Amino acid sequence: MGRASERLQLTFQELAEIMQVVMRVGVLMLKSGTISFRVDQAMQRVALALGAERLDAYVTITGITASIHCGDQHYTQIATVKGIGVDMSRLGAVEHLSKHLPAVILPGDLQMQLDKIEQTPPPYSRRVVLLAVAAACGSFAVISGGGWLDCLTAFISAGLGLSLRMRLQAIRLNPIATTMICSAVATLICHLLILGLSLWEIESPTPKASFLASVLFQVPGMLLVTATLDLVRLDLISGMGRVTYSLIQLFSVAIGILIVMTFIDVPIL
Amino acid sequence: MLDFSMLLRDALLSFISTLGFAFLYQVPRKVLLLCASIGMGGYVLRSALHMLGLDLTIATFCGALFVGLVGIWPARRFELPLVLFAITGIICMVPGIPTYKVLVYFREGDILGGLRSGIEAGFSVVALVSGIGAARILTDSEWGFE
Repeated sequence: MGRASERLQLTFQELAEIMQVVMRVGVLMLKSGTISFRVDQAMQRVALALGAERLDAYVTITGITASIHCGDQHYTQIATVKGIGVDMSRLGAVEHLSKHLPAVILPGDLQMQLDKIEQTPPPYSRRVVLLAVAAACGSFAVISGGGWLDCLTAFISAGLGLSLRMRLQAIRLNPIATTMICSAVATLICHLLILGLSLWEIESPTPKASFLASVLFQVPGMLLVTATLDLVRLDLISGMGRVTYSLIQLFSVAIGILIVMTFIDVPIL
Repeated sequence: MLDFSMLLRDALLSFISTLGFAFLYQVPRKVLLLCASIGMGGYVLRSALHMLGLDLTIATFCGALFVGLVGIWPARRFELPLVLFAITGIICMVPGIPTYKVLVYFREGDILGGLRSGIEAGFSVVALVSGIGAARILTDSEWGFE
């Protein structure tokens, strides 16, 4: 009863303040790479914990629209979301926070906790990620029928390609352009490596494995999985957005390879 | 027949690959190796079933179902998002190579090759997503019922 009467006392100003933090939770989660349903759930939890009566959120991959209600007050806000990435540590932290809110909490306190999460640097440094992903692409080269020489060329070209990708992402180049450039550069480096090694008469019998593996770091794994789960939940708009995005990503990689193929003869098939 | 040396090779390589992408996706340190193991399990299951003569699409479905089901335990244990284990777990089974080949075939004028490659990729993706989707419907009432 105490809780219910508290809720009725929210003013329009307070409701707007709650909405800011609820939106921030949603945008942070969406940007870290999760499905719409989980974003919606977390926003609901936060809104109710802060004293609102009801929240309706419509989450898509490019933005969130939400209305918050309390008594005869209501407040609606739209947030556009750009720069979807994947950061599972941040996602875990925000979701954990939304599940373990104290019984009494003010929007300001929550904003501070979110600041803390946002300021925490990602757990792995650039160099570690580069090495790990390059090793992953090297392994893919062997899995897809290559030898250890292909593993080496894929390792180097994927590493350099990803390093360029991180730089381009840092200056916020359009994601499609970034993907195309990185895939073209990785393919080119792989070609040059194979050419260089052949000077010493070191030649792989299966060069195509290294070419294809060296662009695999741009596989849209997160988008494919979240698209599926959105579609299974019948969050159709969000799901279709993600499907489209992952197709664009896949085709951008292919176009990057094609650009290189126009100038040099790459044995991919 | 099962070729154990091949399976061992697949296990090692898929472990490294999944681990690499787990780093890229900034998976929390405490579950890194677990993520890699789940990815390895799914991939080895797929390879083993394929070796036993099962169609690759069905084998992929089973691998993805495994990833979707096994991820539930660590997600509850460590209070982490379930999607984390699905995203890293299936990465080795994503048909990146056939998809990239589609446009390359078309450019070479090999329309049939391109279509074959595209359909191959399409079947794999559908198998993958059905596996993950089925795992959710089977285990999570929020997914199974409206």
